[in-house]
Amino acid sequence: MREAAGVRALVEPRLIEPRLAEGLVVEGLSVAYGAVRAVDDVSFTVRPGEILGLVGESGSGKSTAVLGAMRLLPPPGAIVGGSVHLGGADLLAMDAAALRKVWGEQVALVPQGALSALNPVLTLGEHVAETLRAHPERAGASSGGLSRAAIRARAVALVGRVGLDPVHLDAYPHALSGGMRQRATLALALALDPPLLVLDEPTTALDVVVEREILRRLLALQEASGFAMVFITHDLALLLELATHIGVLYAGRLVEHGPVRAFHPDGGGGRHPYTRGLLAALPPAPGEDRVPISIPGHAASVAAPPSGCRFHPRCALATAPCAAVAPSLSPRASGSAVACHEVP
Amino acid sequence: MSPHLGRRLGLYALAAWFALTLNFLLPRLMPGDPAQALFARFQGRLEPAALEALTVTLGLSDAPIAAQYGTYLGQLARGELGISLVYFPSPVSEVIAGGLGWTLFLAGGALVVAFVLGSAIGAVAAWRRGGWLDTIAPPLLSFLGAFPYFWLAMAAAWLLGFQLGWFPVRHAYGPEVNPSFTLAFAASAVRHALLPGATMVLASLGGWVLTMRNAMMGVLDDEPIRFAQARGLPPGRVFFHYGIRNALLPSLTSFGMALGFVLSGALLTEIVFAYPGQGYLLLQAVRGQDYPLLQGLFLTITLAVLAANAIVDVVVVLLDPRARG
Amino acid sequence: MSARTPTGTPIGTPTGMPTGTPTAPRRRDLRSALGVAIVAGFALLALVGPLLVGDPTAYVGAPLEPPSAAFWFGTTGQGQDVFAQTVVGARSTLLVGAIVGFAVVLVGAVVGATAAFFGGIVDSVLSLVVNVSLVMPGLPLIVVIAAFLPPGPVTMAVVLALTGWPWHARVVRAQVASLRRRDFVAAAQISGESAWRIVLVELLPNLAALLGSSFIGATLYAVGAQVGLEFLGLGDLSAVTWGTNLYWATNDSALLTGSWWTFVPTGLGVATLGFGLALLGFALDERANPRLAARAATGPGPQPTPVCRDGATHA
Repeated sequence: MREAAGVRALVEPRLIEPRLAEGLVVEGLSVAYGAVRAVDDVSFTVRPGEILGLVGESGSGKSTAVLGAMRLLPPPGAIVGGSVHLGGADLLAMDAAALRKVWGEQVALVPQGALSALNPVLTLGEHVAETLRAHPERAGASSGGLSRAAIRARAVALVGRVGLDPVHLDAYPHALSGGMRQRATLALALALDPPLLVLDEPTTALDVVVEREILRRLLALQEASGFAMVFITHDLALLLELATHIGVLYAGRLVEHGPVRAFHPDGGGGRHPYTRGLLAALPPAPGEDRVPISIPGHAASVAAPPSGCRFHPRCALATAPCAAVAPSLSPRASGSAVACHEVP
Repeated sequence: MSPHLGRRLGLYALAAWFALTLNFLLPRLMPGDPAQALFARFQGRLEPAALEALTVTLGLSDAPIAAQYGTYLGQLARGELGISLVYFPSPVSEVIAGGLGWTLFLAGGALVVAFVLGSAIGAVAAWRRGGWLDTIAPPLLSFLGAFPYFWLAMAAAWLLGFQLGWFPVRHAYGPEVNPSFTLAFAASAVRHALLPGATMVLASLGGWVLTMRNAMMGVLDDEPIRFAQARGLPPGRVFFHYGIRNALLPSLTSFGMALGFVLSGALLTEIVFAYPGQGYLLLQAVRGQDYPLLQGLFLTITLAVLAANAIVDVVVVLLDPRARG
Repeated sequence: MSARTPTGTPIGTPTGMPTGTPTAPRRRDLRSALGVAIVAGFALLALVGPLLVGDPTAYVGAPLEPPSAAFWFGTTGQGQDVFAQTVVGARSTLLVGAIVGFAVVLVGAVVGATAAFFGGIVDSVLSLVVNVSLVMPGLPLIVVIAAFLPPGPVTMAVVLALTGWPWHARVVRAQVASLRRRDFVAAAQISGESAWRIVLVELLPNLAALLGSSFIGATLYAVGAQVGLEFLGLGDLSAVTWGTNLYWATNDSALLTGSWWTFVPTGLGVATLGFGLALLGFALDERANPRLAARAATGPGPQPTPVCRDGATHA
């Protein structure tokens, strides 16, 4: 909660009137696998129209935090602390039936490994139809349920939005290319016009050209529908272009969080030594005269985290207090909140 | 036809050829000259026609081996498998045909029931992982599966047949009916098949439960299930269309491969109940040293299993869009 | 275990062991301990038991006497001691089972490793042989081969070994093929070690758990198949084994006369031994393939992330 207060200080006072305008509010979330705390006391807020990018190395807990908040992290992962509100509703108080109404309608996921996320024995059209039928009210069914023709019309429009030819509605997943499957997965996530879209490393398996094309499409869709996004990735360079806000996770903790401008090289380039390390490790942009430098040492393990600030063993600025006391997030001049004893 | 199916069918054709050739070679490869000894043992006990048939079966002809092979294949093509010694003078093909229907009815029925029932239990056990069914069924059925089929059959026949008198324990139908398309005959046949069928189901159930459970657990961890959950699909839809539909494919493939083994157990069960199918004939052939019948049974059963495997592969292709190519 | 192993476990579980409910380590330990105890008990019985009981073939009592203080398990149709027959029968059955189990795994491992290691045409040919052998139904093949050979334990062992290996060849081939792709094998190859040295020194230790569970599965197969064949009358009928015990029980009309004691002890012996082997193999399987040791119970189907704030530091 200490850190949550820090995050809250960054953003304007919470809007209370329109329910969905409240967006996603995660406060002090902790997620554990048995005795291992994979995510420790993480807070963030995402509002309509925003794109929050979460970045970190593998094992930093970025997927675990978001999937846990959505209640989509499979057991034995468990939420052991904090609160999650989506549009004002308490996600942690919901049972499975209530969550099934939230999933797809209020928040949709484009999963990691989206290329293999489709059921091999169903056609794309059948995937769309089952998604609509699972949410008849949201899909706008009349009392008699959704007619075949209505579903087909919705499906044709849906795949059109993501730039797929409707002929692919009759195709099985194995007959589609990687890029097509990625679009199909995106289309299914958007089937019920959810106000929040979670994308878990959605483009890692794709080549750069396809990745760019899909991201362009995604931004155009967001412009048209106004949904918020949480974008999980290890690609900070991508987030600098795409996100409105960035959260940096290290060993299960949020170390820096703020608007994207605070991370741009010309806007301060991040304050936390880890964030700066990540930026310094990026390949230079064309025309930029810089040699990428990687952060020394290995990523800390959440199973046996270092004491105090978890980054201190790899940090050039570390002093004695860093090994003893965990810093909490506090706002800095750059506009971001940073968990560090040393940087101003 | 997809390349995968083509390869499978080619494999069965090769296996069929192997069985035919082994059947031809075995009597000719017998160590020493036991064929002669065997022949001598039957001399005087058998009529000349049977001896003649035995000569052919055992390969005691002087013709070159290639010519014998040709003759053999020709006979097979015409469905000639020699003359049975035990059921002399009936031709082997006739004897086998008489028992084939009963085995298909009993073993085939038990196989299908066990597969459907076992797969259902396995699927539910995996779905409710750690639930009471998942805790009880696998170890209990494994224990039952550790008994020889025929021993379970003996215990059941003794307890439920002889002691309690609930079920008939011998033959395929009662003496009061004759094989015909009548309700009375059908009822008698079903009544006689219940106990041996139930022991076959019980003995083989555990295997199907475990196969389906493992397949289903693998599928339940897969990405499509997670994505279905994230779209808020109802559990029933996820269970049937994501779980079972996908887990059935590896399970069916195992079904084909396990067919031969389960059938072997079923044959021994027939013996306990004196059920007039292939297994009972096999016993008669072994005890009466009826080599022509034995070899005929070997060929028939092997080819039947290969054919059943081919059918399973076709079903898999029908169920799996990826295999349709 | 293979498609034709005696407990009727179709493939899918590599050694067909009772995959019971994978649960907490304590229950797993309990299960493997039980398996070890059962198998060790039978091994001991086979080893010393025959020294402690009388001649199992001697006619010591009246035919078909029910169990009594004199004859714990009653007598056979010939008036022989069923207890002595059960104990002595364990020896031959276990011995043939273990020898065949070993032979089957040896042949399977050599063929499988050869196919995977050399790849190419060698692999294609061997895999074809394996696949053809695998789709052949077991019992009729075994019966027809056994019928043409003189009866006895050697025939039995040879026939069972001949027909039992293909499944293990397939399992070992898959495992070696995956090991072969790993770095340490590539490193050994680059540093010029000989193929056989790599197989023996680099691969075999990594295969130990798999071979162990294969041996258990193969022994299980051998015991069951042997009992089945002898029951059919294809064994040496003058020997005392579990299979011939059951053969004679049927031959002496055990069912008609209601003399359950002539077949129940032997059947329970086969089943208990089989169950013990299965437990043991399952423990080895989980060691070889930790993915089988699945997670704890959660409820039907995919579950939402549980929320348990107990003991959490969060206020």
